Amino acid sequence: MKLKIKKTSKIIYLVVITLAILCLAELLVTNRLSTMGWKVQALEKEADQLKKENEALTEEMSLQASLARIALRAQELGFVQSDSVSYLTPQIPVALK
Amino acid sequence: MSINFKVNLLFVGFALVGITLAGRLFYWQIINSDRLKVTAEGQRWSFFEIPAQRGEIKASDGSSLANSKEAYLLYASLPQVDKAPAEIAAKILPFLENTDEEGLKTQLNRKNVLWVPLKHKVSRQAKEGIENLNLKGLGFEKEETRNYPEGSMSAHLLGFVGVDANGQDKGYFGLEGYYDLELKGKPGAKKWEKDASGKPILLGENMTEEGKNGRTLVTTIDRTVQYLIEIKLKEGIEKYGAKSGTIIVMEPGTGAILGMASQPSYDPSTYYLFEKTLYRNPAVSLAYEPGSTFKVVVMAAALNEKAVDEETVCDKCSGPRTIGEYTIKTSTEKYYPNSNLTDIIKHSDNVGMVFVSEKLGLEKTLEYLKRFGFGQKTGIDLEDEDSPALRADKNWRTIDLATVAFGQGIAVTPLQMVRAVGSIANKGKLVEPFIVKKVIDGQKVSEITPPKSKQIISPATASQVTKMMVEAVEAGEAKLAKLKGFEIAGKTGTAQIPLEGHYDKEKTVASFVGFAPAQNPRFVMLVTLREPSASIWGSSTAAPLWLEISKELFTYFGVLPGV
Repeated sequence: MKLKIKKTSKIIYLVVITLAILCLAELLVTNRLSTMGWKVQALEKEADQLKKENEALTEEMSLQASLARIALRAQELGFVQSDSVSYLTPQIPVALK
Repeated sequence: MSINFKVNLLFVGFALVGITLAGRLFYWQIINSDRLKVTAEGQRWSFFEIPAQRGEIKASDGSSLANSKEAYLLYASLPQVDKAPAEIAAKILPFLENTDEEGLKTQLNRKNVLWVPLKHKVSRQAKEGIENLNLKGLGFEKEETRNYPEGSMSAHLLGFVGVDANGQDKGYFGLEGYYDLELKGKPGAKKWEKDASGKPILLGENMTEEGKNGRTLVTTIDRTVQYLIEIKLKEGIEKYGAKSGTIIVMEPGTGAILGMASQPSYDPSTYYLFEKTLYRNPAVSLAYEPGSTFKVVVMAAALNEKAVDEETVCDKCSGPRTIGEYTIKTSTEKYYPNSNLTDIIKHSDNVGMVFVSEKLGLEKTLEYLKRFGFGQKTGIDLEDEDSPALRADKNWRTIDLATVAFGQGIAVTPLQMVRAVGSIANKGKLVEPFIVKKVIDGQKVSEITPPKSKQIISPATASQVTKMMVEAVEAGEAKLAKLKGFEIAGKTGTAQIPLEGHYDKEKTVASFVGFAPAQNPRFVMLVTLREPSASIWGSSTAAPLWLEISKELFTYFGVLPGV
């Protein structure tokens, strides 16, 4: 009988300690997470900033790739439009069997 | 004072306090409940709309013709503004394009409001400039604005994005208008619990409604062709002293529009600075009388019906024709007795064409006008397409049958004309012109299959008319400008412009329509110049311009001479 009571007490202690540890763990996690809002905000801000930079680069790229811009740049680099075009026609071999 | 009196007085005091408390509670909990609820919600929740980015419009090579860029709404939080409205307006005005200073002052002077919008679509650079002024009470909210990297190129094709009655972005005209719903997308929303300092609570409640960015359109527009015809059209209008002009380049086998340009034009990013009359695309909406370019259509109809054939000789071509009170002459007042059909096209003989249309007859002529797509829209995917109506069948007179043979007394749009001639290039099959070939929705790409073409004349008829058109270029009016080694099928047109019930003698629409290489056409193109002052004739204005453009197109498409 005494042994049975001792065993039951041990089980109860174990359960209580486990519960206490779990409660403490939850408290610690909740405490940590509840103040993580600032990190989320910072990450969102960073993501927003990167998106803005990406958009700015895309805008700049599309402007630089425009044909009007390319034509102007070509002119600045000294390219001129060719007036004459020569067509190379394939030569038939002289000796044919 | 008796004790009863004191007790009663205390009782009255407590009652008064109780009534006052009840009254205040009633005031705050009943009368002000809605306002407090909103304030509480505002303190507890962050609400944030995730705007949908408008879809892109791309050329056939994937380069961007229209996309969205960063912009801002400039607003003023009036309780925080600490300077006079006039001073603020004067300081921010230099950064804001096309803004009225009085309008800004009016907004800043408003009473009984906490927040006023000052200017939409402020650029990033302007935002930075205004932020550097450190003016209290001014803030920015992110929005987007439309960006057209190629400037005013393809303005009529693209249309523009304006605002509707609710202040929301909306596409008008061109592709922006036609595909507005696809391009718009759907905004999303995000709602989450926040703490006292405004930061999100990770373990709190949050809700997200996913939005959808607009779809991206990939068009058939060849950026190089478009750029070329825009430049050449501007140069041609200046050279020939024309008031306006249009060029359309189309793939005859599919109906894919490779290029479409009209002048005068506008810049879609600053459309509000231009006359509204410029917004409509003349290539698909402006009616004109096609003149002699129409002769190939009537000739094709007559040949297809076997009303005439290669052996037919015109026995009424020795001089002017009188029909009722009207006299039909040739444009040069030269006459070619016993002309065959090729001669009629080569000499652009009005009298010869009257002979042909009389052989075809009114009923068949009207049937073929409809077969070639005249009097109805082509179905192109542009918002502003229109079609001049054909005269009701019962209202056609003998003179109308005669004049339609040489393209007068009938109104068409440039797109209808190029499509009709395109059917001759395409072995008798009439296509439905289109511009968007692909729609991209995230990762999903949908190819748009163009509608099936209709066989409206036989391939043999198409081949016969092609030969006549080649002859017209080789030996006809446009022969001076032809390109050596390239077989071009084409026809000039010089149409008088109707003015108050009669035709103006000085003003014309000069045009040239054709396709090349004649036997295996890579493109069909129409050039029209309205009221050219250098010369009224299509052979001297539109034809050389057409040939100049085609020379560049041959090089670009890698078309060799002798093909």
